[in-house]
Amino acid sequence: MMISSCRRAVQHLAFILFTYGGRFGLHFGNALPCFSCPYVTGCGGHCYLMALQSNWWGLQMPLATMMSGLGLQALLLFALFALLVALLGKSWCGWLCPFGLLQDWLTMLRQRLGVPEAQISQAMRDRLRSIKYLLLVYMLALPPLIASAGLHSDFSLPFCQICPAKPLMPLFTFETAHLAINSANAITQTFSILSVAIAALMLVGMFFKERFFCLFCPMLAIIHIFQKIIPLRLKKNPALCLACGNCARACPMTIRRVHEDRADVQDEDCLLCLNCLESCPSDTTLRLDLFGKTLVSSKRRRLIVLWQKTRSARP
Amino acid sequence: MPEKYPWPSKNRLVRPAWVVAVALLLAATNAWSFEESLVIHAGNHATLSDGALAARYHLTFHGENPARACRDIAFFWRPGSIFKPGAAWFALPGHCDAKNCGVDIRIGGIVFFSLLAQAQCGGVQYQAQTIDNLHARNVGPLADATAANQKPAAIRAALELVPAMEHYYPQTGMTFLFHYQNKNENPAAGQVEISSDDQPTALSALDEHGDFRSFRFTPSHDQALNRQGSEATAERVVQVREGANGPVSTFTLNVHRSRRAFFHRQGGMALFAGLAALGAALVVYYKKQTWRR
Repeated sequence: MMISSCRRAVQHLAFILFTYGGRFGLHFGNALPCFSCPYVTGCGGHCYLMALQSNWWGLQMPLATMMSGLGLQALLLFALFALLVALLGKSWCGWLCPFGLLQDWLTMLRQRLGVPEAQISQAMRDRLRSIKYLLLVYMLALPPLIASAGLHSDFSLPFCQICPAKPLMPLFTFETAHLAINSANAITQTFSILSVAIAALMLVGMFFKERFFCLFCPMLAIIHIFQKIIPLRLKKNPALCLACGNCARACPMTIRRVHEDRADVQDEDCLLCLNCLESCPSDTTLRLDLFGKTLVSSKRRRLIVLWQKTRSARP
Repeated sequence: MPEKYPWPSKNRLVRPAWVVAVALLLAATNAWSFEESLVIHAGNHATLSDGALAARYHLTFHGENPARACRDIAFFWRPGSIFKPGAAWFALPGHCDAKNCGVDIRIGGIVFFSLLAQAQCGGVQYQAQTIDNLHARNVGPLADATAANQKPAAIRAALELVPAMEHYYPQTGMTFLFHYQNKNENPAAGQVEISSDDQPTALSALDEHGDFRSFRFTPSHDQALNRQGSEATAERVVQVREGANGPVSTFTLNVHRSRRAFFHRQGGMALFAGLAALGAALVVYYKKQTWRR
C-alpha cells in the first residue's frame, strides 16, 4: 500500500473518530494535539488549545488556584499533551488533524476542477511564518489578563473565538450557529464578525493553496517547541541525494529545507505527511526514524509504482 | 347614504374595552404588588484546596435578615444530577444569627440540586427555593457529606420546577414550567397571585380547568446582563401567594444571558459568502499570471 493511500485512510478514520466519536460514546480527552474542535456537537475529543486557554485546565485559572494543588491538574493535562506530542510528533498534523483533512479535501476539489495552485514566494512564506507565533502569544497572554487583570470575560478562549475551525467544523454536523453574528454586546459582535471573516478568507486560501491554514497554525508552533525531544524524525542522507527537487515540489507546505544538503531536514512547518519521502527517486535517501531506527525510507520502486498509478488514472 | 366605514356600535366596543382595562389593571397590579418575601440568594463560591467547592446561599425576608421576623427557619436540599434530578429532600444545617441567615454547601464532583428554605413569618408559612449546578474540581464525594447519610426529610415543596435538561445553564429567554400544589389540593385560579420582578408579560398561568396547577415563566432579556460576560448571572424571583394570608412560595432563578438569542445566522452567512466570493475573486485576479503548474 502506498504511503499516501495509507495516510488518507488514517486521516479519514481519525476524522470520523474525532468529529463523531462522542456519538458512539468515544472521547479521547481534552489534550489532543490536533484541531478536533470542541464546538462540534458530539465530537470525540477536544483540541488542547482550548484547554490551554480555559479557566479550568489552563491559563485563565486564577493565580491563587494555580499555585494551590489544583494547578497540578492543569500541569498533568499539559504533561499528557506533551506525551501525545512526543509519541507522534508532527504526524498529528499530517495524519490525524480533522481540519487538515478538510484542507486536503479542498485541495482535491481544486485539482479535480483543474484550478492551478496559487504560489506563495519564499519571502512571503518567511513573513507569514511569524504569524503563528504571534497567535501563540495572543493566545497565551489574554487568559491570565482575564483571570488577574480584570479583562472582560468575553475575551476568554481568545484563539477559539477567531479560529476558522470553530465556524467550519460544526458544519459537518449541520450546525450553522457558529457562522452567526452574536450581537449580545460589542465584544461578542466584534469576535463573531472576525471569526466569520477569517473563516471565509481561510476557506478561500485553503482552496487555492494546499494546507494554507497550517502556515498560521499555533498548534504547529507548539509541537515544534517539542521538536528536540520527539523521537519520530525525518532524516536525509545527503550523499545519496540526486538533487532532483521532487521532495520540495511534493511538499504541501513548499518547504525547501528538505531539498537542501543536510541530514536534519525537518522544518518547523513540516507536517510529516511523507509526500517528500514517497516522491524521492533515490533508495534510502529520505527516511523516517523512530529512536534512530528506520520505520520507512524512500524507494525508487515505490516512486515507479506511484508514477504508473498516476499515469493510468489520467484520462 | 350609509358610511363606507361605519363606526362600530357601542356594544362591539364594550368587550375590547373590558379586555384592555383588565389587562392594564393586571399589568399595573403586577407592577406594584410584587414585593419579594422569603428569598434565597446565591452567594460566593470558593474552590477549596482539595478541589471541593464551597457555595454560600443567603436567605432574606423582605430584603432583610429573616432571623428577626421569622421562626422555625429550616433548610433542605435535594442533590442529584442534571440527568437524574434528586427525589428526596435532606435537611441541611443552616446558620441564622443577628448578622445574616444562610446555608453553606460543600460539594465534590458535579452536583445539580434544589435548595429549599422554609419559615413562619407573622403567622404565614413561607417557602423559598432555588436550583444550582455546581462543578467542583475534585471527583467526589458526589453529595455533601453532612447530608448524604441522613434520612430524607418529610417535607414537600409547594412550588416545583419541572425538570429539564436545559436547567443546567438557565438563561434569559428560556421558558421554565412550574407546578404548584399546596396541601395536596389545587387552589382555584382566582385565589393565587403569581408575581415576579421581571416583566409582567413573562408570566402566564395554565389554568385549563379552572384550577391553578402550573404556569410558565420566561425571564426577559436584560441589556445590562448582556454587557457582562457569559458567566455573569442575574437573579429572577417568581412568587406565588395563595389568598391574602395563605402560604407564599418563591423560586429564585439565577439566569445567564441567552447563548443563542442574539445570534444572527443570516447576517453571518451573508458575510461569510460575500467575503469568500470576494476573496476568491481577488486571488483569481492577482494570481492569474503566476499559477503553479
